[in-house]
Amino acid sequence: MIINFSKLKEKGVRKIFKLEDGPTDGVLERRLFIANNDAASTRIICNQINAEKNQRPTAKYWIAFVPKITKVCDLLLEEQGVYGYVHILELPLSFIPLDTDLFSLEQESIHDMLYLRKNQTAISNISRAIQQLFSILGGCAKFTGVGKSTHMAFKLSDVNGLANGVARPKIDHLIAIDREVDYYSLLLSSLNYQGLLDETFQIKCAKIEIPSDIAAKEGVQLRKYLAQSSDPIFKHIRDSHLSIASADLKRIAAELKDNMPKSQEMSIQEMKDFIQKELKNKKASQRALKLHISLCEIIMEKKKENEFGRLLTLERNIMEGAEYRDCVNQLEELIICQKSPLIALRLLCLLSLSNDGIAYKDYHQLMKLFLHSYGHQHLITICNLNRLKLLYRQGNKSLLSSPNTSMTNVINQSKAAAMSALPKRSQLRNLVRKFNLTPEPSAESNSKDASFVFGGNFVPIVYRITESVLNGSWVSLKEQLSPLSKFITTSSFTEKTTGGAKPVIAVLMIGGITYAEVSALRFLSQQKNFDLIILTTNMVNGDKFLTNLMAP
Amino acid sequence: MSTNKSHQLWSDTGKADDFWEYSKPMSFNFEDDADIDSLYDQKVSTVTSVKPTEILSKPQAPDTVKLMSPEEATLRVNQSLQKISNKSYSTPTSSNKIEACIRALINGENPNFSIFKSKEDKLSLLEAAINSYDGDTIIAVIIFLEKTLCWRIFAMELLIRPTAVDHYIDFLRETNRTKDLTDFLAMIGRSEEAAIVNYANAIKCEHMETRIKHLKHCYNNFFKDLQDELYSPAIMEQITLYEYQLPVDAADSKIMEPSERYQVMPCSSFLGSSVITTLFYSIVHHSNNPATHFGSPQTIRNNHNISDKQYYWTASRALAKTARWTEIDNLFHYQTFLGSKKIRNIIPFDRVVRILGNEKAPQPLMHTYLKLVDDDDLKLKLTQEFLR
Repeated sequence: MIINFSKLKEKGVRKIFKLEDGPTDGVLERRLFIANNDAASTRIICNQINAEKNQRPTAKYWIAFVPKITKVCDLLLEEQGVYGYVHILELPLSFIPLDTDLFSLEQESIHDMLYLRKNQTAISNISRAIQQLFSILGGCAKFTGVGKSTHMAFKLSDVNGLANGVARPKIDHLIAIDREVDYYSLLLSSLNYQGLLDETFQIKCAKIEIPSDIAAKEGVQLRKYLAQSSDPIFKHIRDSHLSIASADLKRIAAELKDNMPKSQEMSIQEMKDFIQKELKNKKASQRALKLHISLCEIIMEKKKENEFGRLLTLERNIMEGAEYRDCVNQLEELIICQKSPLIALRLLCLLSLSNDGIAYKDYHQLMKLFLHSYGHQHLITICNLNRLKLLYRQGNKSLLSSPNTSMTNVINQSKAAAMSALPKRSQLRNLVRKFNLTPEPSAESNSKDASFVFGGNFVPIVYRITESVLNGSWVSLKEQLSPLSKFITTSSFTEKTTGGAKPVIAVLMIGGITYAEVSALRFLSQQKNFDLIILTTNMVNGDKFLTNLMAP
Repeated sequence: MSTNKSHQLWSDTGKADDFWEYSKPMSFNFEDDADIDSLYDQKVSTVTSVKPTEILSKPQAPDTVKLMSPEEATLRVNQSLQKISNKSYSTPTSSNKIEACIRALINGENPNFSIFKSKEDKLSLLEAAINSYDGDTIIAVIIFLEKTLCWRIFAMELLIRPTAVDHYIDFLRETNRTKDLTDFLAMIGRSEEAAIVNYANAIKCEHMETRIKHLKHCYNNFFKDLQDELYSPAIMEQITLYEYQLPVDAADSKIMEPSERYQVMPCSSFLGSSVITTLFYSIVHHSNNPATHFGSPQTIRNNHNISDKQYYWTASRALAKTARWTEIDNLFHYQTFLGSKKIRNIIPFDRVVRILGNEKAPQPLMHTYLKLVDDDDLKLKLTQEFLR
């Protein structure tokens, strides 16, 4: 994504390896390791160097840590006796452009580090990257942060001078949001084309690996497809609902066929021009079109296999808190049948989020079934989700901390029963009401509201925040956003604006953003007519997110 | 570049060097060293010149020993004492030193920690690190504190700072110091987390017998007293499951080829698979064994308190996968006490039709269950889907 191999070859790089545990190809004398600054990668490097440093005393090693070396890495290098054999470099990678409006640090571990392990090392990486970006783009005029990490990133940047280049700000507003604020958008199934592509084929650094069977069928030479706006067809359909996208594809296919001029009607000169200029383009778009159509077909097939319609209804019911008993039963069935554990976990988390925890009895029943179906090692998964407050039983805390369980249990249970008897609104219900997150289903294909990215089930919170920043008054903004998080940071550096025809809004999502949310934001930028820059620590989807949290 | 910078930051290095004189032989230790030296001298001299009996008789009078004169000794002690009173331990190092240290850490430099001697200095350094919001800086200060404070004080001071606790735990986890991590978590009352950390290590073991041993050890040490209704029973259950799998796997691998064993299985290894997968396997391979046989599905059902729903779903999936249609019929049909035949209504019939249809079951069988679907729309949909 950053540099291609031929460039590196010019500079004398002979081979590139992926960092993996195990013995290495020992031919190379001089080696550069490029590694994330975590303990696991450092350990692998230490092992490799230690394994061969006696046999190859002449070998030279460099380690480039992204974005900088941490104390833990430093300590490990020292402990393993590798210091003295290596030269340490720092590679302060900043945002990588995945598209013209989408920039990502592509560091997947940041979410777990910040929210699960509560290690704030990444905060400084983020703030450094923002400053780096601002030194190129010019500063921002206003800042709004929702969530604790954004608050910390803001404070840390403030020390080092976030207001850098404020004299001529290029960005009107930087909106920073914690992933913690909206886990719903992460767990719901996305229905926009790019989101579905990501969930079905996994987009890695804007690239999709095309399954070999399609590649063979379509005669595509490229095994990897670059999903970027450089492909006009892709740009046209990526943010649409799948049904609209596939309809559009059909329409474009028909148009392309019609526009092919009849060779009999052309003069020789016209024909020559056509072949020279247009034919190549037409062929390329035809190829792209074919590819997208077959990708769509695979997505449809996969969805049918998993009874996607049922899943969407289930999601809607869970989000609305409707038919609770039926939801639990369907979930049980899904788990007993050993359907994908990721789907089961996504729904379990949604159920827990939507009800502020799963009722005591149901929680234990569901967890027992889950462990039975997918293996007991998932105790670790459950523990992780517990700590993120994504999956827990009602009255969880008090049960754990009380030493005298038998008695307090009874009291707590009766308490919980009494609580659930009261018509208390859960946190989600409150948010939904305040921010109108589940709009009434309107007529099909009416894309007036952003919930289309989740099949009408939910509007991404990031969309609503951006909307209120645009619409609301600056003074009341803080209060307006307060239900979302305890940490709301607002700061105005300068009254000046960019002065351009369109305002420029940058949205930073700490802990990852989904393609569904990206589509929703693009939709908003078209409606409200502003230039959008999306910044994030990594691209994520529910499956990727949960896989990281799952037991090996 | 960086050395230059740090030099500027530490312009008052002279003062720090001053401080260091402390450990030079001007302190109380000097006296001890002198004593040992003098004893040594005494020995050497006595061995060569005096008889052993003489040593015993007059050990108090070593004329060859060079002793410090009382005046000299007093002088030295006074000097030491003076130094102590001059350099009071309780004086906090000026706050700008702390600030400079934190800034250096944020910029990725290695500042000199040794100037922070007093507990107060160390703690204000920790506070400053926490307020900087930079995780790596916090960890660096914690490493320094752990090295230079006694465990009790260190732990007590961390406890009142949750951010520091989080970073310390993560540091221990990253550096694989499981023992310390367990102790620390247990100390701060997060025994559930401590138990899970050890559990995660126990199940990493590849060899099944050792894994069981580790699990048992883990259960006895951490989970037994946890009184948790999810974790503790689950681990006991896991041990039971593995103890069932081991002999069955040993017996089956003798009589069956791997290709035969795993032909219809969703997994490639029987050892370590989940309860439901084990049940599935057992129904595929051992359902004809008597219920008392160790490998039979009945054993799993009893061991793990398998609900009817779980059993019938798994059984119908397993039987459909292996195309044992008559057995499916036997599974759902049963005779009542009075002798009339009935069909169990545990799984919704539309789901049964779906399972059968997906495995291309014979049409008459499908009809039997399709007839039982109540919802007409659903019935129509299923007919269109599976009975073409």
